[in-house]
Amino acid sequence: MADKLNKNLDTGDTLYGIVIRSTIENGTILGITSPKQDERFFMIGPEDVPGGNRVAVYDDEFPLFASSEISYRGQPIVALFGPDMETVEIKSREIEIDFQLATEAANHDLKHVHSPISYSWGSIQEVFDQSESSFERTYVDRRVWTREDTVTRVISWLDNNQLHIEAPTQWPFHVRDTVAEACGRTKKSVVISPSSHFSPKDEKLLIPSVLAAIAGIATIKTGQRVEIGSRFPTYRSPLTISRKTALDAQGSPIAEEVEAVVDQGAFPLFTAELFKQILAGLVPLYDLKAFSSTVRIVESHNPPSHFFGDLGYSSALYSTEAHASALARNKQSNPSNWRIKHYVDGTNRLEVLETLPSNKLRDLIEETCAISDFARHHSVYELQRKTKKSISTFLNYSRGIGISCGAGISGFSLDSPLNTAAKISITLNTNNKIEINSSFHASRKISTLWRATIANELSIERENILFIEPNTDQMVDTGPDVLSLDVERSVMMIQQCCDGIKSKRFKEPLPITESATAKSALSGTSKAMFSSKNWGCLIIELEVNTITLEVQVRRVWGRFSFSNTTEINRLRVKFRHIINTSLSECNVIPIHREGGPPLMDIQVNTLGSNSSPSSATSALRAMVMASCAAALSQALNCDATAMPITSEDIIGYLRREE
Amino acid sequence: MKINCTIDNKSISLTVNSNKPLNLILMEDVEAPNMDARCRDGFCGNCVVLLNDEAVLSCLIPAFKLKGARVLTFDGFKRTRFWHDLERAYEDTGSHPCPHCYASKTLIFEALLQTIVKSDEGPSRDEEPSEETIVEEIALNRCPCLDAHEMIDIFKAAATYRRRRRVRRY
Repeated sequence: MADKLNKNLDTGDTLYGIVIRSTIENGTILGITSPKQDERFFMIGPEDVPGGNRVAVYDDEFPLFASSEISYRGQPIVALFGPDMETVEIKSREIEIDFQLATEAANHDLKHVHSPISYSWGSIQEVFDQSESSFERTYVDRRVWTREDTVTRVISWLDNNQLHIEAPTQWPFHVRDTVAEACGRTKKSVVISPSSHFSPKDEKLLIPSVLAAIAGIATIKTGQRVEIGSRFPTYRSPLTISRKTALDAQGSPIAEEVEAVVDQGAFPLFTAELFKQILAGLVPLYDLKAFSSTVRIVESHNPPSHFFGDLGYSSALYSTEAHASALARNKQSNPSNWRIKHYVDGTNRLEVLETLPSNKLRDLIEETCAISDFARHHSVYELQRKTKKSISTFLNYSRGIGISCGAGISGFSLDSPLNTAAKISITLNTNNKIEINSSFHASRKISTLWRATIANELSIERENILFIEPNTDQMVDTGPDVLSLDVERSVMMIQQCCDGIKSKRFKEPLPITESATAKSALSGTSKAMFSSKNWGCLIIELEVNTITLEVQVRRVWGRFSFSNTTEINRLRVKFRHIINTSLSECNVIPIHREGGPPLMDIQVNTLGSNSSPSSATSALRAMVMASCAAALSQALNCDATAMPITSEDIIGYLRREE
Repeated sequence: MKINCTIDNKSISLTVNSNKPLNLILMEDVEAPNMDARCRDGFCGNCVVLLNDEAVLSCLIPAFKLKGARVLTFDGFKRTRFWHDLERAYEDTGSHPCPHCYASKTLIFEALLQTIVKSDEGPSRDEEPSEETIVEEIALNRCPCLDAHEMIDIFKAAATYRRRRRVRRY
């Protein structure tokens, strides 16, 4: 409908806008010099906002435009509008902003430290006192920015006193609320039409709300159609995780103390959920008598950080799996055998993460090791590592192999307030057609899963399952479309709606409408914060070119077990995409050898249970990082604990070797 | 500057600044719905179009180079029957580019496929691009979603379909 509306409008008088952002990270705006007088252009700043100059995200908020203080690099200061994008960009060069940089001391003072959040079981100090030795490592996930080529375009126009916004958004109702607040209008008078988008790193979660609010203000001011574009990247919290493990006389772990420090940027968002997601990743799969984890959240002058494909789970799981490999290496044992021996169904971790039985994981590890010939590769590279001079320019490569595994989670934690509002509604119409009402975009892959569930439950042809008109006038709020499209939660909601329709079908007149909230769908399913319905095991063999200092992937083997999935081939393709992009994020290059075997050997199998599937996306990202870290540690005879790897790191490891 | 060119098989007369990049012309003057790349520095490679059958980054093509040129965008390409060769190749191999780079990688594959058609017309039929050439050409787009093996498999599958058509040009 939005497309139709847009096409019907005369685009001749469209105004184009760009956002002028801060080039400093902390300071004060002394003055803004406007461009030379030209009636074709106009500027919008904080003083032009008719409503509140803020973007609210549940209990948190951040300013729409910087008023006088700059809190982070890239903070919107003003927006410039003109007749076409090219001239606006040229005109924007005339805008001069005078900043006064904050002093070093003030810079330091402004950083807030939140009180740490802890989770533990057992008596950590007691077990540490009884231990024979301890093993300590610090892991850093340095992935920070998304790609900067992602453009977010938002269009706004007025129609019958209704402010219409077309935006590629993962959360249409947040865009509506933000626009209504900034423009000082009622929520009903703002209609958002979400357009199709691809946002693997949640690029379209909050940026569209900011742009829509600015475009809305310009439309109200001029009455014209406005288009605004921005390609400011999404920011991610860097994570530093320190793990200290107490070992018994046999070198097996008995207790662990973990501390994670998260930099959430200038305005922390989704902090409570972030803590739970990180905690789920920090709890190891090996059995411990005592465990203690502390998550510290710090503020800085970085852009506000929020979801980034996940909310810290992948970084935390990376540290857990890399640490397991390091513990195995410390004990001089094969990391696959070490995992098979130590990974058990721990009762203590059930409060945080409920997984499939661990024997399924052990089978998966054995299978992946068998097809990759892991034991042979590992022992050969261990021999190479232990030679007097393992790295030389004569043999211009150094190889390693790494293994990691994990359970994927999807959706928010069980008691998250984000679950309360999320709603999906299904209507069985008189023509025997199903209409799905959700604010998740219909073009997403999740819709395939929904259609399959409905077709299966209600025996309706997939072609007869349609989505409701995509605008906030018609749709119900399903909440933010994040965390791997929230596979598990949304499918359970669909399932609940189908059950409701089934009980009324042939008894009550059509149409029958049934709704479900995430809270109602999840109640009674599990007592844990998160439940996982899959296991994955990934092995990566790589080599470091000691001349070019490139890290190149030779082969990747992956095996995944899902409780229930109908789209095995789609999953396999998706996993290949995730592995490829995650390798790229780690600065590891897949190499192509002409006539060589395929780079990736990925298989997905289903265990045939009736439970809803959960996503493995964030776990897979973690597995790629952990396998790369383990393989690099073997190749370079070092403790590679920071990801992504840089050439400086490699030089550092090589120099230490010398 | 007045420029006459063909965009998606339609003759168009444009009045634009001589240095306006092609991607902005497509977005603002022609309103190509799938063109949404504005990096303007050839960084992302998500704005590929076929300019006289050659895959180019539209953000690096100034308007004055369009005089008398034939431009084919992904939307235009989807309307041709040749699109189905690549669509079927994606299905057959089980690999396809991610939504970010789908349009661009598809057009680069198409540019490579056209070299086969052209070589089939001439005396030598052995001018199929090497695996190295395929990987190098696809590198015009920076998205890392496909690995080299997948790209080569897709190209080979599409080339098989294209040869079956035994057609010369659009």
